[in-house]
Amino acid sequence: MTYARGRRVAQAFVIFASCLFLFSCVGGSNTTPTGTPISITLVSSANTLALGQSVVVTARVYDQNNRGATWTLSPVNFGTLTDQTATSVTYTAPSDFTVPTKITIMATSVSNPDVTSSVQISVSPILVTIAPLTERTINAGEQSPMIASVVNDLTSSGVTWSISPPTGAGTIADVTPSGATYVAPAVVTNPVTAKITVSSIANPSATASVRFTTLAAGAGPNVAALRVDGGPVTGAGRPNAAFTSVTICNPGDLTVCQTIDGILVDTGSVGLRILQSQIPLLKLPTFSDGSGNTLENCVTYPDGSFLWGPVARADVYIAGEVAPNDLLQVITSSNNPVSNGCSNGTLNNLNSMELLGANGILGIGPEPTDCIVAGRNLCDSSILPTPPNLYFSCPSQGCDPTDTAVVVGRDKQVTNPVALFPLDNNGTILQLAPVSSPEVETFGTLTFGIETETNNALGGATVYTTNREGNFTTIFNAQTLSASYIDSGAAEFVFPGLMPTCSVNTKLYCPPALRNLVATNRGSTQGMGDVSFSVDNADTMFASDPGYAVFGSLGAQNATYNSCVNGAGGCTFVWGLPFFYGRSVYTAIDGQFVPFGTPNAPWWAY
Amino acid sequence: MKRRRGEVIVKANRCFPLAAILLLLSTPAFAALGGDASSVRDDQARMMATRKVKETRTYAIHELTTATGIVIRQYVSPAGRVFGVSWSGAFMPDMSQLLGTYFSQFPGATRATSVVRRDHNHLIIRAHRLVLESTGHMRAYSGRAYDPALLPEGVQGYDVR
Repeated sequence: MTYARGRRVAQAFVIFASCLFLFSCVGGSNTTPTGTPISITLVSSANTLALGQSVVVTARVYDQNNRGATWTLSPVNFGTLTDQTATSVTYTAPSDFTVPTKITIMATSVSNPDVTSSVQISVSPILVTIAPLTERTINAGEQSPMIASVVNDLTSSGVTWSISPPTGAGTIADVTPSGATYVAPAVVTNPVTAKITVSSIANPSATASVRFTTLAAGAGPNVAALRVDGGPVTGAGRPNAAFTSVTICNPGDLTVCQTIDGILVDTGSVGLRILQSQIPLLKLPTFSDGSGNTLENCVTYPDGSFLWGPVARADVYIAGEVAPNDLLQVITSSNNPVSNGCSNGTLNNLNSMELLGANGILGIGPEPTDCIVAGRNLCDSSILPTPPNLYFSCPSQGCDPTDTAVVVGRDKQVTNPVALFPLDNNGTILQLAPVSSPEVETFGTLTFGIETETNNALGGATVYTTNREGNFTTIFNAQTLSASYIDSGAAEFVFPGLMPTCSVNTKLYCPPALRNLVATNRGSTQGMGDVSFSVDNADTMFASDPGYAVFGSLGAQNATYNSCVNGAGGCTFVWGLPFFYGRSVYTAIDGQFVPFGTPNAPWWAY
Repeated sequence: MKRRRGEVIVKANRCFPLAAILLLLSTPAFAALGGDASSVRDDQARMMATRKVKETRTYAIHELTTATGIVIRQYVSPAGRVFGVSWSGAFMPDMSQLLGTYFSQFPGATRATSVVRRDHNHLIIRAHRLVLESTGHMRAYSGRAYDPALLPEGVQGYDVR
């Protein structure tokens, strides 16, 4: 818990101003008729208070008329002043606050209101924390212990436990003063999520909570729950997008953490990117160049939109995994100037939840940082003497549009958090339930590690290696599309096709009826196999199932059919999220250890 | 802002040749779509890009590779105008320079073209005077753009690649 710097500055000013007043009265401008200066000295019986506690503040007023002082409190109404006399007052802290606060009690001379003195008192709230820290998966019929801890509760009143929804999502058992056990439902068909909240009895508004998602099977500390549910933007559901939650903490400090839902899981990018507006309580360290400039990161999209914000260091928790000192991008909320090298001169800065369609992006593509491709670091000047438009060094008020990119080594690049996990760090398995017709929502899992635990075996999956650009080849409808890839962050099968596009959703395909199609994927050095998929009329599907989030047959056009010749032109087939329905898709991270018998990463497998 | 500009000037004075080269390297400029091909050679020099020219029966392809490895092809008509451009590389090229006056039709180029959309990894524009296709993901981008009205006799849109 923290408090605003602005308030601290204001309080410092108040103290400074009071000192000035006192000093000036010594100078003789504020005097009693007899000429002796008036002054006030305050003594407090305590400088720190917990919830509901009281303190007596005494004033020694040097004033020939002995008229004493009057009392004021700032912030007004944060607690109460009672038993007010000319020389003392009792302050009582409130009983229902949750943010640490510094209050100021000021005494003002009755004889001369220009003479004041004040004392500051820190008031600490009851803080409740719960372990586990972040959302967990659990198998049906299993149990998980939970621990609650409370600080600043002088009455040691303890906590109460509650579960939402109250029925059908498991129960709470074995409640002790410091813990309880979550008992998952005995049987589930679809995943069921329960939110457990622990509240201080002394101050019920001091709470902490954690979610458990019960799966039929396959849960574990290395498994995060995924939801394809439209995401966090109310009234503007995002179809075919998988979301999870992450917990971000100030480095090395478990007491200052925030859990953020609505994080898009994206195999098409690398690195965690969080909207600044989602982490107001955190103060994450950034990189400075010594002249006060902050290292900023840029993501550009093919449509000219972009993400902008500083590289920041944080401990990132996902399921039971932790990426200590992960380097992430904090997407700046302000619309301060951005280098043209990043913005391309466009205004499409995706810096709000509404614009991004998510609260953040968890980029888990097969690379360790956002500037490494197939073992080559393109930002550290080892290969490209000129740095590309990914990293910039800018003053706090914003970049100059003409500012150029800077060289940045791997130790300052936005990092794939999976690569930093202690054990399950060589890749991921993204798995979603099969889909036959549009659905309101569906579920899945993101499993960390490949062949590192009993629940992440490669099994019979076929490995497809990638080329120097990080892509593989898809052969579709007599086209050899050599810049193809798998992208859970894309909502469709995206390809150069002959089907008509839609009249309403003009980027999408609208065949007259469902089309069943087949393509062949071919890895760079190994892997070959057919993929059956289908594309249906997007306008019809969206119109008949408004508000649905799951469409297994969504297709989009990214280039003119047959414009790809010898690797130039429209040569990209994007296997978007519909590809993941009913599949387990493995992503092996470049440079990490891979299972015995598999080629060096990066590669995909399914 | 003022303070920062001052810093840049100081650096430039101290080591001008290096700073000047870096500045030139990092501000690539191309003969934009619809522009005059005679500027291509100047651009190449300014960018310190490598250039190859391939002549076909009906047009010339000027292929530049930028300092950050982006391959840019400019399709030049017999009349000397750039009727199409294409790009591929690990980074997006500067679309405002590549598209020239056509950039005003690019999403977000002006407030009027700034719209809330979700799917940012591909873009298609099919307008009367601009066909543009852009696709890709982090560290692999490609695309092409042409003006149908500028295509030389016998040349099809898909020839721009």
